[in-house]
Amino acid sequence: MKKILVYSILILGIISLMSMNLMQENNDLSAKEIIDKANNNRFGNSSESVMDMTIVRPKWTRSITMKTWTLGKEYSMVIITAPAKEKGQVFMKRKSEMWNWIPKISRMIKLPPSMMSQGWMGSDYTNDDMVNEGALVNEFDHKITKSQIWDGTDCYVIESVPRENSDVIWGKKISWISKDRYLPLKTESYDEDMYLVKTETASKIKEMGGKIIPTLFTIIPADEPNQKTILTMKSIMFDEKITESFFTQQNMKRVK
Amino acid sequence: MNLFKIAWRNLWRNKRRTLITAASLFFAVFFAIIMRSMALGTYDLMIDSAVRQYSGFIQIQNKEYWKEKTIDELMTNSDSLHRLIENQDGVVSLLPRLESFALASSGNKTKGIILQGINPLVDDKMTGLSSRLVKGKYLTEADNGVVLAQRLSSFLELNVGDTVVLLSQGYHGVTAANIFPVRGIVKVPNPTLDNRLIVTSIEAAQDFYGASNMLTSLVVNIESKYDIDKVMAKVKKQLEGSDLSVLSWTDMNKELKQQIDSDNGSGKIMLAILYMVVFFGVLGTIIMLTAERKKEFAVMVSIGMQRFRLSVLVFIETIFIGFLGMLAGLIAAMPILLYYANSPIRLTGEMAKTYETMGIEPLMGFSLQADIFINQFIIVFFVLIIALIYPTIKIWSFNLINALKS
Repeated sequence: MKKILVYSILILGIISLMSMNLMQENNDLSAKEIIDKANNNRFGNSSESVMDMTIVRPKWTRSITMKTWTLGKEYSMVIITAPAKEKGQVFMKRKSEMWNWIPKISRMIKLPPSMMSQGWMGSDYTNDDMVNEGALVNEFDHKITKSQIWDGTDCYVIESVPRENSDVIWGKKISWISKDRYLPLKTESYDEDMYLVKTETASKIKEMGGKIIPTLFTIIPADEPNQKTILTMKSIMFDEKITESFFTQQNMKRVK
Repeated sequence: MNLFKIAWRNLWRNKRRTLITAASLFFAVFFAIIMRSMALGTYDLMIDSAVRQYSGFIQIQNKEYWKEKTIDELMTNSDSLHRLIENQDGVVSLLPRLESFALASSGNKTKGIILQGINPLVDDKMTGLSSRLVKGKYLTEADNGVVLAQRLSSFLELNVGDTVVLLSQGYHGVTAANIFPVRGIVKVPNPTLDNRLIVTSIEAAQDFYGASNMLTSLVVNIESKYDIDKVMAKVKKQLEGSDLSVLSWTDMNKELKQQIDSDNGSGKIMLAILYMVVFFGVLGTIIMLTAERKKEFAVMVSIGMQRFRLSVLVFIETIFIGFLGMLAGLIAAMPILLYYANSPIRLTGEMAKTYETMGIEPLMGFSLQADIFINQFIIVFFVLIIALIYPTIKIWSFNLINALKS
């Protein structure tokens, strides 16, 4: 009898340990799921959108209008439609490569790795942000740290730490993702020394293109006072019929 | 008058002594003039190629520009500013400039370059760029073509009539990209610039960088580089309270200024050593001369010559010797200076490479500045005066009887 009791306690112990372990994994999986879902909510499977980007600096501001196409996490294309001086410039991202077509000089330029941490079109978006958006899901380990109300919405706060051999430039990212619709409302990016580099926020949540999404994005670099970049979504269409063959160098020269 | 005659005759009573003393002064003056002339002439050439042909002696800029030299801190080009500065004494003209970095590409070759937008006609009067054309034509007013430096053109394998692609970031982060036809190729003396300078009209540069009517600097062309401080002060006064700053070439090109200062300093030390050696040489002959002429002096004094007049006599003799040496040195150095002042020595081989790595044209120039000669005369005069202290004391203090007996 005594033996059975000892065994059963032991088995129970093992089961509870295992289940704790399982729960842990479950938890981990759900953090990744949340991030994945949030990412999908923002871009859909494919999308075609028109955006305005305003670069705000202490002494001046500048606006750019652009049209973008995305397919999954791997492909995207951006064409600048205003101002006149930069009209017709195209950026394309294919997996981890980024290309730039400048019609005025008929040149196709592959952006070298050394330029990846530089600002895109003079904004606070880095080229790396453009290319590695999808990397957040697969190249990081995610963990829900707490729940918090952000901007009036109940959010999961998820800490994402890059995996050991991923080529990510961040030390960690902390995301606030709304519990009701899985929308990413705020992301803080930290460098390798865990200093805050920039904060990205999303607001003006409304229906656009058949989905409820945030339509105003702001990036605020931490070490530059009075400096930010604002992205405004003008229109977006989700799940358009775009295939991989759209994202080619030949097509970069043709898109309008 | 009489004393001068006696002094002159005394000199030639012992020709060898006179000539030896004069010869040591001759060499000192000869080498000193050549050393100084070469140093100052070379500095002039360095300043000329780095400053006159490129940055100008004085620049007006946006106060914020010099710190980071970004294209975002520009100044506005306005007629009222032109009128204000051009009316100052010593100002010849104002040269608007818009200058920044760009990538120049042709075929598979790409290189980082300096694109300089200038007013082709006004700028040429200061820099003389058109006179250094190797091929093709110089820019015309509001030209949309470019003139390339020679070494850059051979790196990019570009010729007159080809086009060069320029790519950069413009004013407030605008993408700057355009194609420019090559109008001409110039030989830029400064090796660093010859590897990376592209010149176009100010209008084309403003369009390229998306900065219409904006400038990085307004170069003040002045009548003489010796007036820099005077003109600087005037321009500064006019621009007081505005958001513009005034910089001289020594502010903008500190390396060159320091290089010249340190070289000049070591040159002066060399000169001091040379004169020190000559001083002891002269002092030696004078001490000997005094000892030799002890009896002669004693006889002169005993037949009624005042000691004061006697020391004046020795003074005049020494000055005569000094002038003899100096004149000979000057006459010997002059043809060399006159020849090389007009045709500087071009260095070759290792020496030339050393110069080029420092970004200086490998040229040794000679200067004919008057103060080089005046300074040597003054120094020699002082050397002689100091050397004269010994015989003067001797003349005033020798014991007549002992001297006569010796």
